[in-house]
Amino acid sequence: MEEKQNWLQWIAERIGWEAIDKAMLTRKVPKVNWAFTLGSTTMFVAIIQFITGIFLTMYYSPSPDHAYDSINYIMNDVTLGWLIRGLHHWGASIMVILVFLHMWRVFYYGAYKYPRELTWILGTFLLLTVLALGFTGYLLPFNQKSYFATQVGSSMAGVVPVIGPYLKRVLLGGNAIGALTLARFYSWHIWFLPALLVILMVAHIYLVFRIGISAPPVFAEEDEEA
Amino acid sequence: MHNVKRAHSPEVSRRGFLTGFILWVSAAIGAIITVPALGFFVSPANKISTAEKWIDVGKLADVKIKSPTAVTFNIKIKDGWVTSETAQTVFIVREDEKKYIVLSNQCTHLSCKVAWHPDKNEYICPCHNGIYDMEGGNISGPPPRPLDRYKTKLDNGHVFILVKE
Repeated sequence: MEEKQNWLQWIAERIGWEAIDKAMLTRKVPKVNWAFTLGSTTMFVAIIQFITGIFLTMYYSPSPDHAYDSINYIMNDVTLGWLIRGLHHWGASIMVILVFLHMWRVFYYGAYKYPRELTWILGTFLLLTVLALGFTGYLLPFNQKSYFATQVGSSMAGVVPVIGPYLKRVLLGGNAIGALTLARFYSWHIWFLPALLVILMVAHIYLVFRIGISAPPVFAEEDEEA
Repeated sequence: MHNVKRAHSPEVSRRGFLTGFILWVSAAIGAIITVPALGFFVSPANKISTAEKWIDVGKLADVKIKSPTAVTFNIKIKDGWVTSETAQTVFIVREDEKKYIVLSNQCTHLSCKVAWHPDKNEYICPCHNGIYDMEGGNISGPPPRPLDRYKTKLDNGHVFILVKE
């Protein structure tokens, strides 16, 4: 044992940091480019969304009487409220963009192929979860744009054959957008979907560490030159 | 082992530099989120309303001498994005024809509401048995000080008190 052991080493020894470090931080990776950072960037933005979202729930009120006013309060009266909400608002759009860029990188490099099919499949569910988060979050300010976006979105669900009208009622919590719609969209936005997102992210990232990332494909001509 | 060795040599390895650099940048990013978030968190605590208002609590002549009378009135409170009315009760106490005081009904122990018991000539707090005399002075129980008194003025026979908004 080392004589000079500080508290960090004390903790590291007990949690098995060496193994974690080897598996995650100092693992071997092929020579890659900046496009390979899109996944981590998406995760970083997701973390920002979690933090700012949790803080926003301190002031936001998911009722038709108060939703709009509570957001006005956040924007005008709460210290740096405009910044926290701004980060969440722009973070949402950026996250959707990043998720698509990440997906395209994986697709064009053929990185979804064996043995990474399951990572890709989990990724498609992550994409859907992110879009669902965007859709449910869009209603929460309860302004004109939110209202009609939800009207359009739920009407799309309504044209699904056979179960459409029922699906729309489940989505809205009734026949029209109202108190129940706002409450359930809020619930999905802050509980169901984030929980699903965390589960999928952990599984997705576990597979990335377990299998390792693929090197950029080598094209036939380059191959001959080499 | 690595760390111990580096602490004694002025040279910083490429790996050591990058590790440190990334940690510092991460800390800076963390601070950019944390500092506004803290301000956001404590925001309402920093908004203390100092506004005061004179409120009419009724005619002095309607209050009997040596008989504390509870008067309830509504005050408007701005509560975040909601402006609501809440009821507040005070006791008007006339000691004689001229002298009168207005007492808060809030116990000075832990803010429960006291009630006047005419049979005992005491204000009694139901929470922890704080007992006050007619002028709000402490008789027994845990309250640390007498009941609070409002600033008052008499206008046209009506009692006005200064209330925080």
